[in-house]
Amino acid sequence: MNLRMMLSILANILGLAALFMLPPLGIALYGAETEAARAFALTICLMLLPQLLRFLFPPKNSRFYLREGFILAALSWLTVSFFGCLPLYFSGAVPGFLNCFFEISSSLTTTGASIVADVGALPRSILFWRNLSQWLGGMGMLAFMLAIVPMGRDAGTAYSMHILQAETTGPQGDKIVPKSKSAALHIYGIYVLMTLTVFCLLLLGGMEPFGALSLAFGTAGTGGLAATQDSLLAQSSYTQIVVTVFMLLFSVSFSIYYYLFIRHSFRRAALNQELKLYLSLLAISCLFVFLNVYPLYENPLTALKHAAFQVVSFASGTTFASANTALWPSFSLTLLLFLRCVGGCAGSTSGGLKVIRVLILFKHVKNSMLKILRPNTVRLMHIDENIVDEKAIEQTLLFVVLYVMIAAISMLLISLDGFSTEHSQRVVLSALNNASPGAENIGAAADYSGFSALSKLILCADMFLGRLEIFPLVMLFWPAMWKR
Amino acid sequence: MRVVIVGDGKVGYTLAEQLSGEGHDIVVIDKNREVLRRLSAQLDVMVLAGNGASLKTQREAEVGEADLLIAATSMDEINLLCCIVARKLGCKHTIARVRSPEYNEQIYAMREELGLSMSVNPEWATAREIHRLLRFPSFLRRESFAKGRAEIVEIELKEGNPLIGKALTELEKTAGVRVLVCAVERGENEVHIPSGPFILLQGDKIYVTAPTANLALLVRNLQISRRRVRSALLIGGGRITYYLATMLLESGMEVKIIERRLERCEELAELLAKATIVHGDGTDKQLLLSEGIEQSDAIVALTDIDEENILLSMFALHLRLPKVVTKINRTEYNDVFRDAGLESVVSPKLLCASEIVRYVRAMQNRSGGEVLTIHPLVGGQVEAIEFEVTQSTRNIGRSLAEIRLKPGMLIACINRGGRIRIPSGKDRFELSDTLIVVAMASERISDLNEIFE
Repeated sequence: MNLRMMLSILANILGLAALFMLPPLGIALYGAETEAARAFALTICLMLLPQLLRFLFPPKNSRFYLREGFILAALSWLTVSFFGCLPLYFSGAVPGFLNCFFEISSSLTTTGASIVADVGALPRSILFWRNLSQWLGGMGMLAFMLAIVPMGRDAGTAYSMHILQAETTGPQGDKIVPKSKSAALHIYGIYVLMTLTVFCLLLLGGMEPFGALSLAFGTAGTGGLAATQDSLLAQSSYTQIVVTVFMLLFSVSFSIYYYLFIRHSFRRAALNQELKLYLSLLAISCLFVFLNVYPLYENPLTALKHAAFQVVSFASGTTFASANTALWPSFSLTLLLFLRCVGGCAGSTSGGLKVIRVLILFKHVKNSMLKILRPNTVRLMHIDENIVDEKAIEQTLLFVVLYVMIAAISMLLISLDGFSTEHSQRVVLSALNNASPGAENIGAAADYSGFSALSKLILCADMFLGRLEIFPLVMLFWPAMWKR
Repeated sequence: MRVVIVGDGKVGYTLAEQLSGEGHDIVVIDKNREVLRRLSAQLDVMVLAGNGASLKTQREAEVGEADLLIAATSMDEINLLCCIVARKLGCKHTIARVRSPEYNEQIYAMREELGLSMSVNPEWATAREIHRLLRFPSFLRRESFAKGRAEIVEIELKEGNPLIGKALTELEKTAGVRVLVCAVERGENEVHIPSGPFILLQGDKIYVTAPTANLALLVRNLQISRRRVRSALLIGGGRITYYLATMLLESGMEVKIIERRLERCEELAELLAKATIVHGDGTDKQLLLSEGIEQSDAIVALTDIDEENILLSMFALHLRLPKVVTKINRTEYNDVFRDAGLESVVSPKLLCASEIVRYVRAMQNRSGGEVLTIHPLVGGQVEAIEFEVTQSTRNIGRSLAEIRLKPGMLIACINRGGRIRIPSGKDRFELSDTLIVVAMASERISDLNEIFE
């Protein structure tokens, strides 16, 4: 294990995260929020300390393997969450360290569950930091570091590849460009541009800049935290429609945009089977939900708007609310829960299992069934003109098994707190799929403060497991990993 | 630069490793998915499964937008076809590995039609390298520059060498000829690019720049001369053996070849009338002794199996033969071999790869001065790079004493129209001179102006 190299990269990441704290610091100074300003300044100083450590223990070599990449991904997310929650703690905006950690973990992993009963009472700088961190967590901070920190001598080593692989959502796909660094740069470029677009569109809809920016961050990272307590209930139809469209766009693999806008290759983009499945899944779900909730609304268009909004919102793992879905029929709610578990596409900012895994799973089931009927047939799994090899299928199966096991164990432990089975189930699935609990709980966001410390920790763990797609975090705490 | 490599074999992998290490965008095409999967888990490159010679695959790899295509599959014909297709798609430069001697002539004559920028033959390059080593057995390694007029040679300072304990400033007096020490390897991990007051110690391996014409004198004055190689024993009868035997016979040496397959023995006997061909197992101690291994001046281990070559070389070292050359394909363990006393190790894939890397550096070179050749020294930690001085080179006409070089850089030699000068402070370089610059490999110098402060 190349600890010195990892320390060096970790110091880089914390340095970058410190940069991200500068805007909230500015807001705190501008808004004369003395407590918050002091908290941010102190945290920034603390985050620069590892630079000193790096100076004392410079890396001896740049040997870096997939194992290091996994461990680094897990470590960096945990450390950034730790430092990220300090402003909340120091300023006293959120009481209790565990609550602060929960709040920032939730926004960094783009879960969007909140422990704060009244969001409006938070200082604006803290609120901004909370919303900004879901943007950073959406595409990942390691990718951000890869994109902007020049690597010099390490340019050729495979370390950038291993880091990116450990953090990107979904199973390892084809590379869009030969170098991981330039892939990260392209993806982040697209991410920034799309975020700016949604921000501008929201401004045009008449939102004030702070709220629009927060909403843009929440949409881009598919986090689902807005600047107001009531999510999007009070927003105009225009805003709701813009957010619907962009939640969809951000939950689609970013390589599609690369092929469309940078390479102008419609063929490569249209080839993507995952995208086709995702879109058809959404369209069918939208239709069913619409038919199901149609009687509740006077205007069919309103019903359609809410159906589309909620379907996209749940599938992408954003979970903004445009309507009070607590009143919706059970069929729609179950369908939405199902969509949440499936999640968006690989290589996007969304959560959940990812459509590609479901696709691989279904194809595998089909192939295996056919093999029972005709034992001598030779069948290979084709996705997008590629063959999916046995190893990839095995990994997918392993992932799904771990996912179910983790969900089951978490539910069991959470239920110690004595909430209803349905409730425990919902909070665990929302944490694991990086989607906030949903509109059923609007107004009762303080839900989470009712949980015991153990439950909060478990939910935090589930959020990280969901964002990092299980393996890195499991490996970090797996003793065999650390043995030579 | 975007480089497409067809064929993920030994050479292909080495190239992918080195070129991606230099920051290029690499796409590797191979038919074997399993090999590609392993490659993509190790190197930051893009992989593509398919037949690299087909238009469809090359289109998919966007060869048309690539700067360079390197065809390094095991088949000459496929490599040539790859290059033709790549040219058709608009790839600017193509390099093919062509190993079969039968094609040599037509590659030369049909270079345009084949669309080749360069062809490399690892076996031939290896034979040439070994030949050069056998000509001057005192040197562990020789790198030649300026069309063979200047060399960098590696010398180990063994006990009794007059240079031990001397500072570099006294070098000329001791050596009797004007030479320059451009790199010193000391112990396991220490590498120096030395300056004047540097003192040489016993056990150092020094890299000396000298005009080729002075090498004989240098050897005599340093009292490191070894017996001239008059007879060589080659074990293994592959392509390298054929090329090497031809060269050795031409320079008047006696050649004996031991080969296991009778058929190949007959082929070699037909091709090399003057050589002695022995049919038998080259690793059999009794056979080696009966064929007079103890009396040969040099043994070259050229079988297909690394382990056999190492075994043979250890045996030859044990017999204290004057010169032992070992061919090794797996280069990861080179430092281990050096520690074990195998002083002259050659590797076809490394030679081939460094030839291509040289070409790539010359391609990407923007201004400043053109890279002519690059030679790795000290196991690749140091590089000697030959540049041509062009209009845009800075400091033309100023004396070297005035020019401030970056630390750890050295101008080792100036070649003016074929006249080699080992520079001192008074010397200056002019337009269209060629310079040999020595620098740490990690600096990745690709432009002459990069060496100036």
